Amino acid sequence: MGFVDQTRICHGEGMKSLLPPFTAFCLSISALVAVVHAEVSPAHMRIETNNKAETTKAALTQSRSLTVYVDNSSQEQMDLKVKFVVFGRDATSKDIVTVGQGEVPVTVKPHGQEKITTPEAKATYNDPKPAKARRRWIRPGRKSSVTACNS
Amino acid sequence: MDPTGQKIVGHGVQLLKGDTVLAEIYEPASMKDNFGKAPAAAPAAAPAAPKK
Repeated sequence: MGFVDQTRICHGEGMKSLLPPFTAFCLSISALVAVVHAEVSPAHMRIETNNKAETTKAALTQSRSLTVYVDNSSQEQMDLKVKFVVFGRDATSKDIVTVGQGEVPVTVKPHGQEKITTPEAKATYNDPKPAKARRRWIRPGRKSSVTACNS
Repeated sequence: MDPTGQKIVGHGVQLLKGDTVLAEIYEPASMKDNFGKAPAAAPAAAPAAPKK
């Protein structure tokens, strides 16, 4: 009964607190613990991609390497690992496949930045197109089922 | 003949401390599902020799 009276919201003079003091204290401690556990990681990264493509008559050769910048905003040295995968699409099965992958260990000094360049991942796509049909030149006036060229 | 080989379509990078992932980037974002799961690409077949 007393609890119901204390949780009642009152306005004006003689207002009672919404929660008992001990409950409010416990709630604020719980909130503080939650905030401490949800701290942001001091390690950050950003990526630049380096793409190349070479086209020949029947093949397209692509290569991609990644430049990874790792930042450490903490006051302690961090021993980290960068894991990367370059994905491709298989021309036959149309599935996603791994063209290149690897792991690179990196040690970042306090308030420092490290730059990593991954090895090039290469993919070759062969698209043998059928040879273009030659147009036969027929002397104008000659009977033929093939239309004569204008030139 | 059907086309063979692969085309590069994206990438993914994870920053780890031990086994904990601190940061991850996928391009495009849908590649996250394939990270560590996609099979390795088959070696590209040599292009056919031109006919003499």
